[in-house]
Amino acid sequence: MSTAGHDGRLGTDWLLIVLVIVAALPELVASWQYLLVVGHFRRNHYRACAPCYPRAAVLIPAWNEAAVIGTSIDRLMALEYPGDALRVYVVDDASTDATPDVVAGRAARYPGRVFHLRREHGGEGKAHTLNHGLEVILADDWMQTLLITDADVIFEPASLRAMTRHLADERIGAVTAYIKEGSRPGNYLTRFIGYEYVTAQAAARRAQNVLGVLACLAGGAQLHTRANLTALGGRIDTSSLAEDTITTFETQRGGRQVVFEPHATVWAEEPGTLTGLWKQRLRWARGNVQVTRRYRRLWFRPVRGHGLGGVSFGLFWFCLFLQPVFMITSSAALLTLYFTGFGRVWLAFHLLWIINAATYAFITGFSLLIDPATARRSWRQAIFFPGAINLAIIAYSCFPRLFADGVHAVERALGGSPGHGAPGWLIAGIYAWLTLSMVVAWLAKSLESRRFGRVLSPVLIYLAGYGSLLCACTFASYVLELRRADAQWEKTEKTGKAMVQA
Amino acid sequence: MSERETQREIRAALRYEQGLIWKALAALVLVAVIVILRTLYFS
Repeated sequence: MSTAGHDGRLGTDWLLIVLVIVAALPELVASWQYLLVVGHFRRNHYRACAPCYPRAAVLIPAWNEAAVIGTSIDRLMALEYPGDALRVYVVDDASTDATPDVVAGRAARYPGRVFHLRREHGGEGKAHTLNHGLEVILADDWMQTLLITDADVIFEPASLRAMTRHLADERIGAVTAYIKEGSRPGNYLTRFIGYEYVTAQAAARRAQNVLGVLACLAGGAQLHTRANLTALGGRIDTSSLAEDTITTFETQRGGRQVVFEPHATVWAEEPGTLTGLWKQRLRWARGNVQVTRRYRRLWFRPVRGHGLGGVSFGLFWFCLFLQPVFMITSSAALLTLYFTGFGRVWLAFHLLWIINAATYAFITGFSLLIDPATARRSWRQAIFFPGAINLAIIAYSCFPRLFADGVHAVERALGGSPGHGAPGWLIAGIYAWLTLSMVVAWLAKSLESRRFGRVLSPVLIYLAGYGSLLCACTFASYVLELRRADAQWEKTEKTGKAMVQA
Repeated sequence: MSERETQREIRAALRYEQGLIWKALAALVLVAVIVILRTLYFS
């Protein structure tokens, strides 16, 4: 080979190594996010808080929510908040079950405090339903602050006043609460979601408080000032599947601050099946693709007035948004290096997984400590979040000698030569696993309704990892958005399993 | 709720947030232990 050819090959090899290691970027950025959580003690909004009880309207969109809406209204009526300053408006989106009767019953039980608004032609989606209610509520001057929530969300008694105390500061446009998974008895999947919410809310949103910018007001608990809603045009965006995120971005672009209140806790029922979760997350992920495209001129361009263009915030957003791309690129680079006979492919792989091991230990350990109540319930799901196979790779990458005997036994069993490497197909499979794990997670979802799905699907999720399932969902959202597939609103089914946990 | 009670709740929230510093340190110690074990005994 000529010198130029050799140099070219060397350059390509190093580029591939970089692509392998880049797969660790989302984990490194997540660790940066967790380190920012430490700053929440200093950089928070509590110093500007004061007792504040504005006249609050609670807006609940409801379509066939008879199983949950009554309890939710009762809990709202029991909030530690002045009774004459709290009204509930249920927008019944042409329900065909007993929702109208349940709401009418509560309106009679709480006269002048619970209102039933009916849409005769529904099914257009949550944003349209909310806009119906907003039109009515904004038509008179009574409402000073608006709490948008979901029919299944159960508020802890002190949660609303913990949110409204931030409104003592006129710079605040909106406040969101900490939504926890409340299904009881629940199952493995709801416990995975419970742990996921510690990472995505309790940790991530604290970090965003520190940066002074929030990615998304939780759809089930977002409190707006009247001034903010008016500035947003008195309407929720109906052009995308991510109306909550767009409301959050537009609030901040308008110069009004958005705050996450981690000590205002509300409980929601999340999907207990992979099919239900897939539908919900696909909607969210497609919404994120739409938001990424809509605000393409905003990313990584810091401006005065809001932090949406900040570098850290951009990294948080894109590392989540592009995680499947990183995983596929890393697998492809590893396989290319392996099949072209690059001698140090193991070293690149090893380095990637050492970084993954360190970030996994830090993030999992810290998450479990951030919310001990959820940790007691979901610690197994926290450990298996990346999947059993990834955990085995992490363990072997960190402590190869500790597992040498076991690995040699596996090599022998699979037809390899002990001590001289595993069979080629196994090595290729391990290098491709980051991508394959998404396929396995997708398979788990697809097989759930089949004959052995009830047993097989959870096993596959524990093997491939809940994180891989979310990445598979994100990847599916790219495909659907590229194909411009129909974006119809598919409601998550609620059965009334959520309850406040002691 | 009075100003005093609100301040008491905010102090409790700040204590919790301060506690997160120690929790983060505990998680970092866990990482350090793994790295040290890896370096000393299993490299």
